Amino acid sequence: MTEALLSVENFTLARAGVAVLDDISLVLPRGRSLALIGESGAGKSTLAYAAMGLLRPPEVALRGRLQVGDADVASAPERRLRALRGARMGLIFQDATAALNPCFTVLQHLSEPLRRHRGLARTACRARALELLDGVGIADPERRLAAYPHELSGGMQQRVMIAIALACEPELLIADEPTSALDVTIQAQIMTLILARVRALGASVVFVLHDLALAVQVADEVAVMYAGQIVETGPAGEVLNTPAHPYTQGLRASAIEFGAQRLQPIAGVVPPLSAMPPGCRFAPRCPRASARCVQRPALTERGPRALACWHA
Amino acid sequence: MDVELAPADAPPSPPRLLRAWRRLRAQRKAVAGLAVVLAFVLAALAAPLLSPYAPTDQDFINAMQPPSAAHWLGTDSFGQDLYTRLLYGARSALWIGFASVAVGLAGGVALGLLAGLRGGRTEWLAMRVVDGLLAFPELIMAMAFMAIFGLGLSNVVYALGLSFVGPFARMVRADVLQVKQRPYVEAARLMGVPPRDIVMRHVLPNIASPILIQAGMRVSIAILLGSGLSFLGLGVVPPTPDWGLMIAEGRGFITMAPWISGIPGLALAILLVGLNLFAEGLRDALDPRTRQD
Repeated sequence: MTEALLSVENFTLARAGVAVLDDISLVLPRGRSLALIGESGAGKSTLAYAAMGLLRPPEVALRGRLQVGDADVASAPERRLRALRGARMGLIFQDATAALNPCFTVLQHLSEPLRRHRGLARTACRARALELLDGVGIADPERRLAAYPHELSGGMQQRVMIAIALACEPELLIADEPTSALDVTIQAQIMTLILARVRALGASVVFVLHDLALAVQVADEVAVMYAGQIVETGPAGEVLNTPAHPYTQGLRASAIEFGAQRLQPIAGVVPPLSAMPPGCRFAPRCPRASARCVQRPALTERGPRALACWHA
Repeated sequence: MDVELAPADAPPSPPRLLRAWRRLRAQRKAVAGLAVVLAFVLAALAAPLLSPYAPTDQDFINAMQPPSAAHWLGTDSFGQDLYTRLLYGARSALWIGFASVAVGLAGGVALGLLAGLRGGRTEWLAMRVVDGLLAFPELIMAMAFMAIFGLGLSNVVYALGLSFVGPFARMVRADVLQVKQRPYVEAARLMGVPPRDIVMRHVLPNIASPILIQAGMRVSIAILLGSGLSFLGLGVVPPTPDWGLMIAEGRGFITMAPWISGIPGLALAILLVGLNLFAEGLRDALDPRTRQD
C-alpha cells in the first residue's frame, strides 16, 4: 500500500459539547478516491471542512489525529494551514454560483491562488489561467477570462470552480456534492472531468455524495456515515453493491432505481446529536436491533471492509 | 477543443467601473443631474474668471440693486455682488457636501467593518456608540457640535461628518454580516487568503455599491444641512460667501429686495435637484436589484 495522504485516527469533533464527528478513523492513500456517503447531517461535510483546517478550536473541540500529508491539521499553526489551503489541498463547493465572488472576473479568481501560492506575475497568471480553463473544457477561454460569474452558465461556473481548485496542482481535492446543483446531463460531464484531472495530477480526491450509484462509479473506497460516525467502509463497489450494515442496506433500498417496484424508506429520522442513544446510534431505526445494541459496536474489519454492527 | 473556431480578437467584457459608467450614461435623468452638478463645480472653480468683483467687495452706494447689466443678479444690503457671491458660495456648498460625507464615510465604514467582522463585545460596543450618535437628529447634533467647537467652515464639515457616521456604520455592518457568510468568503479562506485580504478584496468590493449610493444621497443632505446651519448663524461666519448666510442676510428685505434671498435659494434648489437626480441614477446603475442585465 502506498503512503497515506489523508489519515484520520480516532478523530472527534465537538461543537458546544456535542460530538458532531465521533471517533472517525480512515485512511486515504495517495492517488485514490474516497466517497463519503450518508444522509444530511451525518457529518460528511463537517469532516471535509475539518480536513481543510477550517474547523478548529476555539470554535470546536478536537480530539484524535487528522493529518494531510505531513501536516497535522488539528494542531498546525494557522499560517501553515493557509499555505496549504488552495496550494496542496483544494475544495470544490456544491454551489459554484454562491462560491464565486460576484465582483471578480474568472481571471481574477484563477489568479488569486496562483499569485498567492506560486508568486506568479500577471502575465504568467494569465497564461496559466488560459491553460487551466482549457483543461476543464471551457471553449474560447480567452474571452471567458474577463467574464464575471453571473455571465456563465451553472456548468461553466462549476468548471471554473474546478479550475480554481486545481490551479496549484493540489495533492488532495475535496469535492463537496460537486454536481448536485447541476442538470443531470452536466453531472456526468463534471464528474468525468474531475476524475480525469485528478488522475492526471496523481492527486487524491474525497467526494462528499449522497448518490450511491454515483459513488460506485467514481470512488475506489467508500465510507458510509451515520450521525457523525462511520458505520461501514471498504471498496466502493463491494460495500454499495452488497451492503452488510443495516444502515447501508437501508440506503440501498431507499435509493431510487430505474424500474424499481417501490421505494423502501428507512423509518424514522436521525436523532438529534444532543440526544443520541448511548449504544449503536442507528439502533432506534434499525430493523435488526436487539438488546445488544445498547452497547456501541466498534468498527471492526471483516475482510476488505470494516463494519460497526453487532448483527452483520 | 476547437481553438480555431474561437475568434482571437473577441471583445473582452469591459471592467466593472466602465460598465457601471455605461449604465449610468444610459439614463437621461442621471446625465442631466451630472450636468447640473458639473456646471456648479465648474462655476465654483472658475469663479474669479467669471466675475469682475470679489465676493466681499462692499459698495454701499449700490446696495440692494435689482439685477442689472453691472450686477447681473443684483446686490445685497452691503452692496456685495450677488452673482459673485453665488459663484464663491458654490465652493463652500460643494466642499461641505463632499467633505462631510467623506468624513462620515471614513468613520462609518471603519466602525461598521469593526462591528460586522469582529462581532461579540466589540460589535456590541460599536453599535451602542452608533445608537448614541443616531439618537440625535442630524441638525441638532451638528448644532451642538458647532456650539461647543465654534463656528467656521471646517467645523461645519466635522459636525455634519459626525452626524453621518451613525447611518453609514449601521449600513456597513448590516452588509458585512450578510456578505461575510457568503460561500465565496469561505472559498477565499479555502484558497489560503489571509483575513486582511479577505476584508479588503472580497468583502469591501461587495458592499461598495450600496455605500456609494448612500454617500451620493447624503451629499445633497449635507449641503442642505450646511446651509441650514449658516442660516441659523451656527455655520460659516460672515462675510464668507455662503448660500445659507446669503439667504439669512436677505430675509429682512424679502419684501423690498426678494432677489437677495431668492437667488441663493434657487441655486441651492437647482444643485440639490441635480445631486438627487445623479444619486438616483447612480443607484439604478449600481444596485443589482434595479440592474437590467
